[in-house]
Amino acid sequence: MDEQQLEEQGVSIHAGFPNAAVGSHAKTLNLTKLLVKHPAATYLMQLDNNAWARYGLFEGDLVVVDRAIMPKPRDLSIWTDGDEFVISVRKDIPEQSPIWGVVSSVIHQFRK
Amino acid sequence: MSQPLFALIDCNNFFASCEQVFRPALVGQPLVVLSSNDGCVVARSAEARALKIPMGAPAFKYKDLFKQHGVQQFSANFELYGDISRRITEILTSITPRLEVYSIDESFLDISQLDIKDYQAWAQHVRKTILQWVGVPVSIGIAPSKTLAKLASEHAKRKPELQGTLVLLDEEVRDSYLRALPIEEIWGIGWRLGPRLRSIGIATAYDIAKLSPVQGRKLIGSVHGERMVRELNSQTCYPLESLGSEQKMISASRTFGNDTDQSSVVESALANFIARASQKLRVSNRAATRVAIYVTTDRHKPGYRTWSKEVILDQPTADTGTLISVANQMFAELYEPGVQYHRAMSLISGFVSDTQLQTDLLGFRDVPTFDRSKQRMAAVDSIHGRYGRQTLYYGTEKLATSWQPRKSIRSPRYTTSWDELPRVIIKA
Repeated sequence: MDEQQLEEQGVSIHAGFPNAAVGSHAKTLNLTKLLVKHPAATYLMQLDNNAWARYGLFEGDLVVVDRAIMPKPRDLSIWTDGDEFVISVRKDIPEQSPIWGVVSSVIHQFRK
Repeated sequence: MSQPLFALIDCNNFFASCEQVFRPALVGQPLVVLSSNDGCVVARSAEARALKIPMGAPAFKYKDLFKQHGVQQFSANFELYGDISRRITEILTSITPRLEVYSIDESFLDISQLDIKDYQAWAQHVRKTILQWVGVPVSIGIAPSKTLAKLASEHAKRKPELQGTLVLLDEEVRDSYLRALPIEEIWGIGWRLGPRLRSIGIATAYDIAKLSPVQGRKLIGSVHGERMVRELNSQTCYPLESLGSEQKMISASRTFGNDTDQSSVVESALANFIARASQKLRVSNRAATRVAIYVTTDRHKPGYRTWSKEVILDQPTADTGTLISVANQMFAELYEPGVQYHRAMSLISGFVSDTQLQTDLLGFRDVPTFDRSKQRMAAVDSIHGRYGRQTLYYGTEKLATSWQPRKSIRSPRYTTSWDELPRVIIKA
């Protein structure tokens, strides 16, 4: 059977440039690696209300909290007030309040 | 190989501390964690300890005390504790791969290969890192033997002035601690041997360290006694054990929420245990050769009875189906209608490496069958990995669920369940 006949039977012939991906490592983008720099120290929380909707933060958004980094004055941070976790800009957090972690990103899903 | 140097990292009141990470208002408060059936105390915060609530205390006996002092009670949340433990192990592994996870809240590191100038400062740094990253306070003991490292971490835990760390490298420092330690508190002596040793004038760890190894054998018992003497003298007898070799058996037991005379309830509990245990085996590339079961009626009711049975398998296996059917056959043989079963336990042991099996050239084992089953189980595990452990199960695993503990006062699975994440509020 020649090439023509094979193709008529539904068998395709591959020729020409080799697939550049074959043999090299398949590279994929890993969102977790992008968002989680310190896996052992990273926790997820969920935003409880829409008070900051004007800043683009909505109820139900996932808050990625990294406890391994030190907060800078303008960093969004999590502090604790009694048993409540509260989100604020670092410089707005009351002096004596314990800082629980630093917000490294907030994830908003438009569709789940 | 050079002489090892051990650091024992021991979490303080581990289960209680895990609960406090997500309930910051409870830090400094009396808090207890109860076993799965809320029957007895399995962990206490320092403040609960100060109220003299003993470990293992039956919860119902302490109800009034709990109420009087506002002691917070939690059902054990093992998913949370397991995740926190994993995080700590991850931090420790990044320091050195020479790590032995001794239990859910204790790990030994061999730090002899690390370039550390000041051990005290290093230990403080590790302690602070774990406290900040994970939120759990740990005690760290450093010494040339595991026995001394354990002893050091216990001291570090109890004496606030040590700030959670103690290094026992200097002989004089070591001996001063040994002199202050009553023999009953030494790892491996306990309350049974204690009085006998005291009667012949051995009262402290220092007295034991001054024995000859031969006397150690005689007085404390064979190899164990000799090793204790040597270990207290800073000689290493117990090496770091790697992950795989450490666990010699996997067991699980549960008290039924309500006593049951239904064989299906017991079978279902056993199947659940074994499904989990066999998955653990496969993760570590091992197979089991022995399966045992143990069932009892309620010890506190008249006519208390126990049954146990063990089989040695012709073929090592890590196959969930095979192991479940073995366990359930054993139960079928000892089952008696009308008996009110209270507790069930399964134990699998006699592990062999499954690679050892494939190269078994002598043909004692049915390698093709084993390989087929291994492929099937690899498929099951990959489905579990992708969709969660409970997607695929064997029929008996789901026969009945009434044996499962009542999770009445369990805290949310803050770190392992999308539906139970901590909530964060905005204060305008």
